[in-house]
Amino acid sequence: MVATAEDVGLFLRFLIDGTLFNEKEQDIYSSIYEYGHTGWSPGYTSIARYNSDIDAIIVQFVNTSYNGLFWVELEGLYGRINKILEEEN
Amino acid sequence: MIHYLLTLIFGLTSLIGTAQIDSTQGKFGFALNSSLNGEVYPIRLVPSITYLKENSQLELGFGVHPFIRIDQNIYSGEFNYKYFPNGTDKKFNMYLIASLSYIHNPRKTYYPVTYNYLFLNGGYGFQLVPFKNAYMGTNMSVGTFTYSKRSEIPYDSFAKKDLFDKLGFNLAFQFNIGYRF
Repeated sequence: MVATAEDVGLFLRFLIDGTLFNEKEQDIYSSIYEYGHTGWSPGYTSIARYNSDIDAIIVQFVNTSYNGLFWVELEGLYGRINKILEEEN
Repeated sequence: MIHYLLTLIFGLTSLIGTAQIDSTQGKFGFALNSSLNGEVYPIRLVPSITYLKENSQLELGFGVHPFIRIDQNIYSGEFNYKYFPNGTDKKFNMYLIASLSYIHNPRKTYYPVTYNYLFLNGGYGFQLVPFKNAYMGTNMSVGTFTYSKRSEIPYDSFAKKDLFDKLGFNLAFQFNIGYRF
């Protein structure tokens, strides 16, 4: 199965806004897990999180992987994308 | 009895006087710090009162941002401790810094939100002394921060966060100019 960035964004949106869960299920999910995703396998990295201030799901797919330091760079890049979008809103 | 009282008074005089003149009196001054860290944009301007005693300088300031972001306000209270291992008399003086900042940051975003940050950093820097009593300097520091959040968002999971729920890593820079009286 293949998920595009848009698919991941929509899934996360539905996870957050209650489309997928009823209220009780939402409470259980909130107590045990986060609303976001990070993935890392050889040749591929991804970050998907919800920015609640600007009501935006930001998905970053990168077709490269390396080591822990590279992950720090990816987080830095993701942070800069957030800041740019926050300034534009 | 009189000998006993005289001896006692003579002995106690050592407690009310100083054996040596204290020539290292403190100096008050003022400084303008500009602070930038990885969490809160944009740069803050922090007018501060400073007090230098021997090799230590304390700074207490109130910070604002220079109004280039109309969607948010930033107000901060900042306390710095600087230690100059080689004193402050030379043209070029290095120092160690410990910094504690509180930042109040309401943002007019899609869902209006207010953040309150606490930063605790440590680092090093240097000062140049272009002429007597004046200085300009810079420093960099690393440390930790935590924040509270109150948002108007309708999703409970994102509406509220308390101080110390989450700790983060922080990198900060300062530039400053100052004058000591």
